[in-house]
Amino acid sequence: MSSNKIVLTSSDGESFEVEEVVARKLQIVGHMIEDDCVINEIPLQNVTGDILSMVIEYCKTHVDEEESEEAQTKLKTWDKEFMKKFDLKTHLKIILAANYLNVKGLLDLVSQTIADNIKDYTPEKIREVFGVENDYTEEEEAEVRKENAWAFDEADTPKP
Amino acid sequence: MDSLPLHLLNEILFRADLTSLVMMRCTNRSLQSHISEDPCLKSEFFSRFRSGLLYISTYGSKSLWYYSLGDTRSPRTKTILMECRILGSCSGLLLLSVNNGLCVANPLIKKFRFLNQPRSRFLPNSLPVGLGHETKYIGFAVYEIDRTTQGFKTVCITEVEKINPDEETTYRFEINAGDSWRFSKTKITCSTSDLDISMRKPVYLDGSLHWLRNDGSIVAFNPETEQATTA
Repeated sequence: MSSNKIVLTSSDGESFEVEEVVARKLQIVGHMIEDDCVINEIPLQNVTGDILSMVIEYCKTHVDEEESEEAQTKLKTWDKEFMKKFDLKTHLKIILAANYLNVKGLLDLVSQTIADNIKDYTPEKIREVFGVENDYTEEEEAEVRKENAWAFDEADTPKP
Repeated sequence: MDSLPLHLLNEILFRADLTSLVMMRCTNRSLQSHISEDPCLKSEFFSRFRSGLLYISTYGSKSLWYYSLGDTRSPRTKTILMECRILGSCSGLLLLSVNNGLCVANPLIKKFRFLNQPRSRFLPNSLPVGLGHETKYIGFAVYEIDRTTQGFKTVCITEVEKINPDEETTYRFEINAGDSWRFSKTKITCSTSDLDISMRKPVYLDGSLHWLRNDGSIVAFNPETEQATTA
């Protein structure tokens, strides 16, 4: 395997030197390499340094994905711990970055993480964390809540 | 949310708990319309909301083996009361036999409704203890009347006459939409079938109940239009 180094530069000018195999996990980079439009340095305009470093950390860990069950379990545990380090705001930044950089595994992971985290959220909380504006009138909101009353019933009951 | 493109929002919503989807619908108008109208999300949402796979034995099940919502790792088993058997399930509603009567229950909102008597001529009087052989023909279908209203029908397939006992039999469908049993106008004549009991339970799919026949053909009955076809 080639041990070529590639430098990835974030939108705010931070540079990361990574091995080509790691950089190829970012499919956007993989395509560039295949199209021969890469020398050594790749500017990535839509992602900041702090987020890019997280994506690189993920890619480094996932660089050789072993088939064995043990290795898979270990990776899954790592994924979980990795995601736990960040808050929802960061998760939302990672999902955008994973989409832009085209890292399928990370996109799946972070989507699942967000989905799991919002599990017990009320509409109010969702509005708050996602910055969703409530454009229902009071009557409309009551109506839509009534339609979906079963879900509230469950959410309001304390979990055993 | 403005910064999140719709396809990424979908990535999250696909993986979200059913309750979260509902909560999302309650947050704002554009999310409500996105969740209820986006065709690919809709199919995902409805496939999870409106149906489920619950295995029910021919004589009605006494125990349940289920996955709790969103957790596919460990199935759980639950034995229900002796007096109550599950005869069918469709779109989240259960058809139960409780104290010799038929009952439709929605476990999510904890509401139930007993089907009115008089009972079907074809259902034995002593459900579930006797559980005569006709029980196994019973089919249960739930369909949408509109977005918020569901209708249900229980359907029995019954033999009317054997034209030539070895070849063809005419069947009729007896329907109960909650009030009383009545015959459908439709009759269907097809090859006589006497399958093993485990095959007699109809399967509800694509809006029709399907009974498998001996010769591999399938009798389909659409409870909404009350039309029968063979395939």
